[in-house]
Amino acid sequence: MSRDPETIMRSQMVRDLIGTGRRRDDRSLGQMRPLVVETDVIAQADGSARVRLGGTELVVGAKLMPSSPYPDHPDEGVMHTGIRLSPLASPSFDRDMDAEATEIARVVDRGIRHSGMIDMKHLCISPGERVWGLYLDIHVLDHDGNLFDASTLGIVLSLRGLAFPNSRFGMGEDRPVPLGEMPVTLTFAKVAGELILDPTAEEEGVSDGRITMTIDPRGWVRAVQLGGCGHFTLEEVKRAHQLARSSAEVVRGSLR
Amino acid sequence: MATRGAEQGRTDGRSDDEIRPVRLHAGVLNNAHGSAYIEWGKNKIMVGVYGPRRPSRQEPLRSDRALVRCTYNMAPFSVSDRKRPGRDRRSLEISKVLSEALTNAVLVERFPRTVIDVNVEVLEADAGTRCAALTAASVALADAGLQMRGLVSACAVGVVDGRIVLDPSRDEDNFGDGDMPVGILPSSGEIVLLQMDGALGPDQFGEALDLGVEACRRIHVLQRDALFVRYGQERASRIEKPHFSGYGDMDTIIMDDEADPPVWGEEAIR
Repeated sequence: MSRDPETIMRSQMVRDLIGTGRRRDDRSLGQMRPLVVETDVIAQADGSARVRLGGTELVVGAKLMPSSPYPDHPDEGVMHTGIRLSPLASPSFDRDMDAEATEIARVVDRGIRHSGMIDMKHLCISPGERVWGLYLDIHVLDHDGNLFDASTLGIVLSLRGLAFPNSRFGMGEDRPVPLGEMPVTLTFAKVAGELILDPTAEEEGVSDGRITMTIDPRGWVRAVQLGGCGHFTLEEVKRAHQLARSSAEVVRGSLR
Repeated sequence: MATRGAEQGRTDGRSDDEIRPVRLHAGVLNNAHGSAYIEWGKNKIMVGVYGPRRPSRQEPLRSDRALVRCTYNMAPFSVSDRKRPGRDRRSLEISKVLSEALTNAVLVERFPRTVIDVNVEVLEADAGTRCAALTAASVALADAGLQMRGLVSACAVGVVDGRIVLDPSRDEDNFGDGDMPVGILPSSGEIVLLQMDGALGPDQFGEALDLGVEACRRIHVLQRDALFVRYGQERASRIEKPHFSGYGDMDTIIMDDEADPPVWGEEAIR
């Protein structure tokens, strides 16, 4: 980010405001932005969703393809999560984004995988021979911060409509994929000593670190990632955990 | 599947000179300087433009004009069998011909030593993506406020069972005998995109070209309408973001009782 006087002043303003408990978009520190969702948007996908979280917008397409199991898990399907940070989504994506993309995809993947929303055993066709490969591809169209939470939301919503495409592969009729409970991912940025939920790109830009937690319906933590250049005290991490647990319930409630 | 045996009509019931339904919206993204979303038949394509700007990478710039740098990318879920993410020979070639076609549309000599990035994301593909992308890309360039010689309009012509048909669908493309994407600058009539593969007879080539150019002029009307809608409404309701239609109705979920639509920084600026 360039350090011209305007950027420096703007950063200071964002920090000062958060220091007084307020944010540029009038949200409280622990409040998510408005969420707009739509499912089954891509006919070629076996499950899909479009999510707009404030100014962040992405499309997720889930695809099932016959695949080979890993030798150590012969009766389980395989899952792959990928994200494209398209250069059309932000002026700052005009460079190699591989490291950022890989981190987001892996963190989101861990949360989905460990929450048990998809039981990998359900993706088995013939043990040791043939299983379903589940490909979750996230396509970011507009970036205004917090891609972690928006990505998990997009995946969860795309999975809700997921069906085994049996007919496409001559394996009988399509049928729905059994689903467990949904995980929720919550990201806090640390700005001016405060933890703020669902940071915008501007807030991420002035933050002293971020912490992402994926919470399952029982309140268990399923994935954590500390990121951004910064550090957290023990109390801050514990506070983030408490806030994540209560916010996860709010998000889960709105998506029922 | 294309029917063998001539006057059977087309797989989707269109007449030979009929284009699939096209919906085009300008100005649908927040960050991009200009953007357009097009649904052309079952194709769904988003285009975002940045520039003219200095590239963040080292790039050989032109001292006499801007570089138009188009990147065509297909989402892994855009086709029936998942596409491996990343660049391939097909997308590199399409990116190149689209860049060149669009260079003709922009007054590139007005912006020396800059790049204009045109990012094309194919979210769903059903034959004719390069024509749909080119059509939407020139609208996105106009939406970015760039000075232009005119829009670029494009449409493909196909050969099915020896008949020349407009805008072949996926089945017609896969089982047909030829495909010829045509792109023109309607303001001057110049042809800026022309590719072909398959088989076109000596008499058919000219006929197909005429039909393609005529189709481009029909597409041009839609492009002008999209820009008119975008900038006609802008004055009436400036706060409202143009509705991203074409995906169907959306459910709005408010996360919290307090979460009114955000008012951007009013308080902070005062």
